[in-house]
Amino acid sequence: MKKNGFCDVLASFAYSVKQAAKYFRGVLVCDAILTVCGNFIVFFSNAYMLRYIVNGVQTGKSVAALLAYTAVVITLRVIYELIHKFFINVWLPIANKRGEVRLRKSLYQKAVEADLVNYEMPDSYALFDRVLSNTQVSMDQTLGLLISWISVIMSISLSSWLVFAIDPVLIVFAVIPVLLNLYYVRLIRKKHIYDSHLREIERKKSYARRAFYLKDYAKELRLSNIWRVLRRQFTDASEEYTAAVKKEGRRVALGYYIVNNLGLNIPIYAAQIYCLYHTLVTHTIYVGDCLVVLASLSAIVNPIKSVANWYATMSDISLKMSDLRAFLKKKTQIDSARGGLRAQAGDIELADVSFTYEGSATETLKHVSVKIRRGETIAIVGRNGAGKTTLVKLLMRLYDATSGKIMLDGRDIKQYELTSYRDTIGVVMQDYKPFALSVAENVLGRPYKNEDEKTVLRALDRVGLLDKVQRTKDGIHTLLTKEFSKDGLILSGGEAQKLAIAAIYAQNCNTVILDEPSSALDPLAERQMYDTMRAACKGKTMIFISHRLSTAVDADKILLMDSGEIKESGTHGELMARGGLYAEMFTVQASQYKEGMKGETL
Amino acid sequence: MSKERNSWRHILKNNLFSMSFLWQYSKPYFFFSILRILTRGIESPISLLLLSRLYTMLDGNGSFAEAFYITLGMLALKVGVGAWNQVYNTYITPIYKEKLHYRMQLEMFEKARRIELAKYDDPAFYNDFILSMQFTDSYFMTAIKNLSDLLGAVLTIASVFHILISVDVTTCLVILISSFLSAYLNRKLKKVRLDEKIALAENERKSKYVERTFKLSEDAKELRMTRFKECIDNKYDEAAEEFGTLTKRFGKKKTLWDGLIFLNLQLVYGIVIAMLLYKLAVTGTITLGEFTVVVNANMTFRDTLKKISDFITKLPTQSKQMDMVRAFISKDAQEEKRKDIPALEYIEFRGVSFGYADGKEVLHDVSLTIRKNEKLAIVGSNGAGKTTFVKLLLGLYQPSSGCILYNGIDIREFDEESYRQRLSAVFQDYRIFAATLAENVLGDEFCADKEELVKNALRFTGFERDVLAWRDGIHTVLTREFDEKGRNLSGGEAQKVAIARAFVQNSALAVLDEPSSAIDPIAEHELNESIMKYSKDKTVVFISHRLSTTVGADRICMFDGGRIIEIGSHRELMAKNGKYATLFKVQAEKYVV
Repeated sequence: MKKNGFCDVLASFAYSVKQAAKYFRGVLVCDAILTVCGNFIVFFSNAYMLRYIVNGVQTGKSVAALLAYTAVVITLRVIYELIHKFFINVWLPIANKRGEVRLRKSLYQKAVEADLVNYEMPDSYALFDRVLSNTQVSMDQTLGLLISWISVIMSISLSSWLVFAIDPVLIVFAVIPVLLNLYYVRLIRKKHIYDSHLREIERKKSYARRAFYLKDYAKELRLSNIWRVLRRQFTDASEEYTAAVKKEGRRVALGYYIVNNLGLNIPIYAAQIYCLYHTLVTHTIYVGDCLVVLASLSAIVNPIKSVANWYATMSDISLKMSDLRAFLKKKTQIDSARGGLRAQAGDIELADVSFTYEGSATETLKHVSVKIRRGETIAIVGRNGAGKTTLVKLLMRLYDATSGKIMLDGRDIKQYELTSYRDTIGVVMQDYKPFALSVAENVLGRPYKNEDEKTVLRALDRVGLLDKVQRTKDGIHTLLTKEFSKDGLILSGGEAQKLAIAAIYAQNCNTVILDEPSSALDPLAERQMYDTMRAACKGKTMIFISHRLSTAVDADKILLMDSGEIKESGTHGELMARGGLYAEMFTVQASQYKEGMKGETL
Repeated sequence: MSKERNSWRHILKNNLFSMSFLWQYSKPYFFFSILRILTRGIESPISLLLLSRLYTMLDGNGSFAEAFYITLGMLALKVGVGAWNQVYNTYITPIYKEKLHYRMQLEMFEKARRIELAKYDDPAFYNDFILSMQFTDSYFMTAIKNLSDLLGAVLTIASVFHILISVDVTTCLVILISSFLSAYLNRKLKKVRLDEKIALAENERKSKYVERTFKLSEDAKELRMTRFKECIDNKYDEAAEEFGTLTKRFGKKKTLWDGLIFLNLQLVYGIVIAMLLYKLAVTGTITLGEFTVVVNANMTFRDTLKKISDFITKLPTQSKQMDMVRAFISKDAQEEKRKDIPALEYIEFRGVSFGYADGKEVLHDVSLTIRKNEKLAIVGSNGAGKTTFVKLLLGLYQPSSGCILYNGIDIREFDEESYRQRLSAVFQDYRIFAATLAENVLGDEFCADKEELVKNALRFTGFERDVLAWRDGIHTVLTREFDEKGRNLSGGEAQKVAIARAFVQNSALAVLDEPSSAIDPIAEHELNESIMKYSKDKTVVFISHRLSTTVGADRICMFDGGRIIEIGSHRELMAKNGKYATLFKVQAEKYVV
């Protein structure tokens, strides 16, 4: 668990202020200036004005002078408030949004540049998730906290100044609660621990609630008795909650009562008696002054109550900041800057490539060497966990080999510019889902320009989607999914696959990689997909992973992987003749079909 | 007009109902809460009256002794009420509320579990459902809180009014008028805020989409392999620009109303001071103390009136939420249904049609008899109605027309839970729960005598060997929801757990919805063998895309467009040379050379 001591919290908060100053400087400065002005004006139009008038009447000032003073102060206040309202309603949200967009864009940029591994390891994935969701929130919190500090400091010092001017002795009454505060800091930390304990319990309860109410779990709840387990978890959490409140809550509550209630109220009312005595008996304090004291003492002392919230907010911010730091510190191994060559079509060669996942003890790929000639169709087959997907990811340069080299056209792929290298490769993912962009952008994989029209139309035509797209109102500019538009186009699974192929066709890449693209398709749709694919990709190098060995039969070369190695490679005929693992797998799959085809002809 | 009255009566009814529920569930909490209402209601007026008394004494004529006692009274009120509040907030409320919450949630769980699954597909129902689930917690307290707010506000306003009117009638009138004016202006402002919220929600969704895209691991690969990032950045810029336009539009309106509210406040403040000054210094009809009292009461009066106005605006929406919760809570107990389910002989679909909430019918007039110990394969293209068919079979959905007969008895006559106990199923979208592996396999609580059962089921799916190597074995906690050391399963592993779950129950009928899609061919083959071996004396209904698995089935049922178009053994269907035969040949082609 991370250390969360007082100093760590402060240091993290300082870091957060630095970040806030970087992205939200304008907002912060303007808000701070307005807050300072506002506090002055509010002070003079509330407590100070009342004192001025009451004292004025008591000392016999002219009514006209008093009225004039009132009129000036109120006019100033009205002018200020109108400016302030415009500021908080119009200017501030827009400036804030601008800062937010800059901040988020830089985070997104970092996320896209980060190694893919980060998305695959649960811990770092959770980190990414937290950073992308929380950073803006913590910036808002930081800005809010800074502004509220300014506000509190202003109001305390103005009130103290006034009280001190009336009778210095009164300050003593305000000092007592401040001293109590020293004890308070410890109490706050105790409360913080208590609160996070309760939150932890709450999380357990909410998991059970989620499981009971969400659609995703509904079937299991009805078909099994897993609800008993969830109910027990819920019961345990509920009992734990009550026990925590009984045990820890009582102590925290008592401490709070002493500091926040007794500690504040006794000095305030003592001061009140002191003032009343001097107003009513010795007549050394004016009525107006007495009134001001009654109002100002609580203004000095009350902010102490919010200190608890400050600390809670700060430690919350500090957790988020340590996430942000860890995120920004992530080093990218696949450096897009290195290597300036432009990649072109060519033979691909893996020379003694090994790969080990970070933190893993065993190699996922062991000394893999293989040559893929330009235009060849390669099928990669093997059991779950044999390293097929890893191999393909190395080819896409989503990972770099731990040792060994991957070469394109005789050169190490690291010598090519990253985007240019990746542009040569087109991919159809297992569960391809189009982005909520226009059809054209989905096909192009980049922003649309006018001269792209022909390319897009031709690609759509090639896969048989043109009709469907042209029937829509906006043609190739129709948005996909209903994310941004109610008229958005929804594609069925098969159509989405076609779109993915159209993208490969339009992007004019040299190598096509298919990672089990057909697992969600029914047999006929799968067959159609492969046919479309073959037609669209003539002349391109095609590499696909498949569990259905029937798709491998026509490949120029089949690579059979087992525990990170290429165990067998060759054409279907060669591998069958060899009688190894491939032959065994194929026979297993074929046996049922053969059985089913007995006496039938194709 | 009468409708309006009617709805107010309805609101009142809802509040009374909520209160009666609290009374039923927890009498001590009810009493404590009433006590709390009373203390809250009288605290503010009493301290206001004390303060006013104190102010009027300040002119120098009051006795110090009285001022001293008033101060002590104020202190006692603060300290005493503070102590009670502390006890109520940090002790009574958490403990009783938790008890209440617990009992309430258990009942809701039970209800949620029994809601017909088809309702989940109806977005309107589902939204209401989730909302009311979130609202149940506060439901009990809503009425009490309303009462407390109302009582507090009314008492405060009465005492302030009393103070004001006793000092000066004209100023009181000015304050009253301006307070109503601000309540009106506030409503206007609220309306603009609401419109803005709706307009911005749409905009917010776009930004959220951008965020999600960068977060999802499924999109991560694609973002690296293409230049979609530029497109998405553009979308983000568009959204930000739109935000600016909207904010400007609504912000100006908000500034207008906000400004008017403030103008009203400050001008009247100035006028009141001027009027009072005149009376104080020129005509001498009020004292200095009274002057202060009125200036202070002015603010309190406004604040309280604003609170009341907000309170009234809030009531109808709140009442709607209460309606929702009430509908769930008060759903009548279901009629007693048959719990003794006889041993399975056959299940018959008789003219079954089914449509989801959106009105589209997905199954049309399906008739079919599933025989005892039969292995029935369901095939067909995506969207042909296969999954819907098995969901109906499991009693998760109710047919829109026709009926499903179990040994000749309509399954609607059975108690759902007892009926489903007889069956087991694996779906494609199975879930792994944040519980131990054993509990996940059992789909139930673990007890020592079930250990063998779990192990057998795991052996059956070929997962036992892996599990034995884990430190905590079958008691390993799955997912990291609660436990940082929890284990996240891979897709293939999770699927094996789901299959084990279906077979551990040893039920007479098992339904498998494409159970092996994430499993490699050899493991799949082994799995199929063990399913077949295990289920010699069981009925198995399975959906499959890989037709190799259907060859061994007793019968194959081919779905197309929500109808059964072909049915028979593999041989029969091949001989028929229809759609099944075509499909089979397409798949077999490469295997059979």
